[in-house]
Amino acid sequence: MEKKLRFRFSKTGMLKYLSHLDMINMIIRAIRRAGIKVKYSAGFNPRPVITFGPPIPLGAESEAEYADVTLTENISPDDFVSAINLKLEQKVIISRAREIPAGVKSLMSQADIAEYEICLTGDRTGGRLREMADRVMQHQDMKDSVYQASAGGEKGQEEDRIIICGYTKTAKGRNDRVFKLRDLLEALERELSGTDISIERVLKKQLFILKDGQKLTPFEVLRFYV
Amino acid sequence: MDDIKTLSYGRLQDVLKDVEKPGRYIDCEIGVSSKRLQDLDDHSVLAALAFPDIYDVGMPNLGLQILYGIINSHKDFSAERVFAPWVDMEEAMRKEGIRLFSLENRIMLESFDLIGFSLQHELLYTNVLNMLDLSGLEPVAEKRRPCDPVICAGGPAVFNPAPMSAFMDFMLIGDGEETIVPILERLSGYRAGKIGKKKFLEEISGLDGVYIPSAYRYHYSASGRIEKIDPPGKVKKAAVADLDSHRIITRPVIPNIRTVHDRYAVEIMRGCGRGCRFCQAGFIYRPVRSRDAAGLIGQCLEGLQNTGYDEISFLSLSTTDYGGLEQLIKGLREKTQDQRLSMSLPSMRLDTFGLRMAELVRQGRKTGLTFAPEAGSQRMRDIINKNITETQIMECIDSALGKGWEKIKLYFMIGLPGETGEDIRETASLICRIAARARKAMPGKKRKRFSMNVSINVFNPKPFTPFQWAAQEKRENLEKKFRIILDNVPGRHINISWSDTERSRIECALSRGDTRMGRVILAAWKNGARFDNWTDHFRPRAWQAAFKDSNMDADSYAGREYGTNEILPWDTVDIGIKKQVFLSGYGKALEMIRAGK
Repeated sequence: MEKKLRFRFSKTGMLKYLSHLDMINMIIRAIRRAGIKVKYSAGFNPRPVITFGPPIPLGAESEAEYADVTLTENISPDDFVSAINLKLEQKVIISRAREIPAGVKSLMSQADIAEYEICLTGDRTGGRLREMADRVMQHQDMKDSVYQASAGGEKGQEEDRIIICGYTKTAKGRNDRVFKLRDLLEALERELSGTDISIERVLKKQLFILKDGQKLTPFEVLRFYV
Repeated sequence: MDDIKTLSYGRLQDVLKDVEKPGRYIDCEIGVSSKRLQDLDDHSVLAALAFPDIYDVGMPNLGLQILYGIINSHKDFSAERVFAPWVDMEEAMRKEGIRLFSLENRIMLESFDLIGFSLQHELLYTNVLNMLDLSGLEPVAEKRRPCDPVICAGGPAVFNPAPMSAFMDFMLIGDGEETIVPILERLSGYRAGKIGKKKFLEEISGLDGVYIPSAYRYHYSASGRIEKIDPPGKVKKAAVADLDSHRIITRPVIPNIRTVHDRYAVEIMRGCGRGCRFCQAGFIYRPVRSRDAAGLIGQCLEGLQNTGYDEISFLSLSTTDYGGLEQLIKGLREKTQDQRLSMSLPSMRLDTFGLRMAELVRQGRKTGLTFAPEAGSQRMRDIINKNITETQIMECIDSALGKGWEKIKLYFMIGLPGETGEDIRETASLICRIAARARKAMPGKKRKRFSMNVSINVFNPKPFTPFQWAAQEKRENLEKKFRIILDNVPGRHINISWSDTERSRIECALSRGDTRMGRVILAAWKNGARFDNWTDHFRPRAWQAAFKDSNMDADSYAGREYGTNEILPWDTVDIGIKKQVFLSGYGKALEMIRAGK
């Protein structure tokens, strides 16, 4: 039997220093440690059938890494989550898994937008952050690859972060550039030089699929396949 | 233990953001077993296992994992790992004023009770000095303060302890499994301030394998030879009698980043009975000790289950000589049928049995095969005691290529004792004959893809081999010999790589050095030498200047034939093989050389 699961995992703390490939290997080893049977590709050099969403650059944390895996045993998504979490370092947590029906497009080809939160420290006013976010949006190298940018913060507190949604792939008539977090951070560093504000943390918050102008998470989009 | 200095996460982040592969400097690995900081108390002994190469190279080292496991299984001991920071990290650390720290709890090296270096080869010596300096510690032992950690080293490159003796409080010669705990037990008294370092060293001096440099005096004659070593007693190498008395490592630390050997490694046998006259490992790891295959199968399964690796590698110096090989491979295969396990067998001797085993582990996925004829002429192979004939090599090639292997790697040495231009031409012609034979044996449609890699290494006469007295050939001659091979082997399909002759000369001088070599190592490090084993980082001028400024001549160590009645720098160590045995092997080789003329 075959069963496909989509799962979300986080990559926080020190693990932000691991590359996308390192994370893939870590997850695959954890699945093997948990004794869960994964389908292997055919061919000369069989590999586990598991696909991951778009990579995030080294140095960024994430709450929203996604992967689709094909299993050859019948295990419930919840059991899958708890079995693997037992075998993982605590800074990687699988937060959710759902079964996906056949025919769901791969994460890589589906995902349109990644949302990042860039937390700042130092003396600041919300107005300045909003201004900065606007400037980033309008920057000519940037504007084509950014879906949305805004300033945000905890409720009732001063704004202390920039929230930016960037395209993970190009689409005709919409955007012909892919959002590059590294470029944004460099631009931001330039903006911030001379101020006492510095970047404290970069966190990927969510991955979205655009459907009829609506932003859907990789889990939300599954309802269209039922 | 509130005097332990650690590096904060924030400070670490300051340097990590700009370095290559920052994953080398974090922990968060599965399998970490060091004690937590808050669980340490006054009785705790902290040991740093230091590997003087980068994380990617050091992590697959089995010795490191073995000692890590043993120390951390003890309730009062905690071991943490530290590797040499790559050049970019060193620069960032020096700029930010950050001292060397361990991976697990980011403890500054100066706060450890003991720092133990694993020395796999001589070109790591300068990295040891650099790591001590980065830790804020004096590299030279006698300049260190009484409160500083005890510094020691083990591994194949300390079997001749003389060259590094100026920097070490003690060395551990041989197997570490059964010596480390008694040492750490005595260390707790020293660290509690109850006994001085001298007393501590005295206390451990009776243990097998413990070599204390400060206990020896080398006297040199006006001509520069060793006149006398005081006291005359030898340190007996530590050797585990029964490998099975220690289980294999079934919970290794699993690296998060890709390493040079990213697989589950299992030692099936220690030592080699073959006796190739150039091979140091073949002598220093004797006697040959095997693990029981039936017991290994269960332990391997446990290790695979704990690690999640899909590849297992069976380590030994001569895997074909391991009696339980077929049982092990078949047994493991049977129990892992649906797990997609791939197996690898390094150090295979390729005869018909070896090939059958290689086929057994490969099961359809056939990539490369490695052969080490070492020399082209039968005369030369007899001189070095490499017992393989051309017929055997060719039979093996026929059979392997016919069965689906596509890539071949060959190892040869040049500069062997008694080697002539004719022998070198034979090496070149053997390479060509193997290539032709291999192409012929390949199925027609694959023939287009045929390629062969040939690695040519300079012969280094090493301590504790029958060739320990032999001279390394002069660089000019070696270069000429390389040329002969390059000129006589067609470039198409055959890629030849060779070792840097100057680096080999330095390595040879270091490996056969006496206590005066310490001055050269120190000077070379001060001249900027480090990562000498990395082609891009080896600085010949740093070494040449170091030899010159120390009034030493590298050629009098590398390029000179040592007299068979000379006192050798490593005569302080007893590896369990009498000098007479080496002498007789050397004698036989010399006889063959003479007979050939």
